[in-house]
Amino acid sequence: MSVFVTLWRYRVSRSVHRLGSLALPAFAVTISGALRGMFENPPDRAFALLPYVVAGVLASIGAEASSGRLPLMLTHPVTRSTYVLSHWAASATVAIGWALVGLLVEIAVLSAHGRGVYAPWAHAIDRAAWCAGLTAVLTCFSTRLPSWGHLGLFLLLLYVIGISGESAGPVFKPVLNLAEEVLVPRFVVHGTFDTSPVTWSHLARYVALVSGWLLCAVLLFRNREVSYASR
Amino acid sequence: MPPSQIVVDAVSKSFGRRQRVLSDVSFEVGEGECLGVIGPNGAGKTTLFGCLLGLLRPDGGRVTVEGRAPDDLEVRAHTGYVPERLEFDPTLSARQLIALRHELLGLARPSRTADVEAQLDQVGLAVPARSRPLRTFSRGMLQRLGLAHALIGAPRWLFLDEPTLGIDPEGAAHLRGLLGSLKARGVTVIINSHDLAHLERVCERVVLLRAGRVAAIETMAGADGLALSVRWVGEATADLLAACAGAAGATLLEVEGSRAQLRVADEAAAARLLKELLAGGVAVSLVERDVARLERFFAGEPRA
Repeated sequence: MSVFVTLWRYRVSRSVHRLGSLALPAFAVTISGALRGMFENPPDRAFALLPYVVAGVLASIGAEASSGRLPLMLTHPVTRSTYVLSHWAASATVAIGWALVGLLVEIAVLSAHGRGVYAPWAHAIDRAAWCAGLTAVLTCFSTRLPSWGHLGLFLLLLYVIGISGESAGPVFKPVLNLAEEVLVPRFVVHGTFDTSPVTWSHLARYVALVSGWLLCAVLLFRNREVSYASR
Repeated sequence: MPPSQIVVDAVSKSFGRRQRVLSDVSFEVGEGECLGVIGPNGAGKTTLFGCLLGLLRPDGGRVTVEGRAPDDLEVRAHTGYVPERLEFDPTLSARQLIALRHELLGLARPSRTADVEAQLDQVGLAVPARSRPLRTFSRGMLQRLGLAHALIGAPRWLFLDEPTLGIDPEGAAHLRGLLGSLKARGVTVIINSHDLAHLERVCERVVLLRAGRVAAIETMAGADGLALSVRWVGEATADLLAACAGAAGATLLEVEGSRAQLRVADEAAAARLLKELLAGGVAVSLVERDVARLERFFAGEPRA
């Protein structure tokens, strides 16, 4: 556990250290989104949170492998699963941090325009869950793909699902919806707790999806060979 | 040779279907031994290191370190590694990097600062440089830092990949001294290097890899003693040299023009040999350790 905490702390501090330059674009996206009324319906804007996720996964496993730092890191007494999970936890922490900062900015902007904010804590949880889910997916992709390949694959899949959805018939529409749910694990507080107990399944599905992606990441990374010669 | 600690048993490794990098590689390394690995580019040295460190899985055969797999956490906790490509987080300082490894090794927190400073002292990294970001470090400074990174926590097994690359002669001499003290502590060292003169000075044995196979294993010192190269001016017959060598307990290996190669047990025997040669009327102009021996071994020439 101490190794996990050490790696998590190291990655969080280094990510924050490196990502000062991303603060401005992240705020710009957030403010423009708030001004367009995005705040009321954030889960439908997949790209709105992407800057935060990018921030969270900047120190990706693939980038670490491509830079040549991975072999040295793996000669420490660290299990592969600890390495992957600490990476995800740190990425999610940074992404959630940026998302919450962005939320505060949105609230400030909306307040300045005289608009009230309904249940900000629910929005905060939604965004945190979204960040944790997306970083799990991206972490899984980055265990095998070099450098920024994980982001490329994620955006490609999102694009393909989006394009296919426009022309899909009634048979394929549910399949594409399911694919999008798997690719972008979501958890919406209002939809889960404000209606019947059955909707608690949303939470279970979200947890299952994130756990599944992380399990997949661990399994993929455990079988990965790491060498300068094989780069 | 002391009891084997690291055993490489019939290791084979391929990348893809056609690219066979290691074929049936076998050797053993004893406790406190310093073993060199040499070979031309593409011989499989780095892949062998990958297998030794548990970063690559052999297709056939196995590597064990004290009977355990090399990626066993207990083994990793006592393994130090200096990679050829010293890629550290460029935003960290030297102190932060060593402290991070100290923490990952689970070493006691109260002694962290003192341990980090002591380790950086040991490798001779200047104090003002220790707080600077690593992106400002030269190759030589990174090499020293890499060594400090590998040595923190007193490893029992040390893997050095091209440790003299980019360091100045003073740094190389410092490294030799350091390796001497490590061997005295019983640390097992495996060095992959093209610096044959350095290997000749620090290694007991050297493994020559060619095309992924062990072409030869050469003993550098210990039982074989020291190889000397002697030069003289004027006349000196092979018989005279052989007689002088015999009287000093040395072995005449080769005579070529006004140069001969001899083997003696130790430095005292070398002094006796010089005395006998001078007494025998050989006008000796130069006696030196035969540092080119490993070059001939590498080139596949007959052994001296």
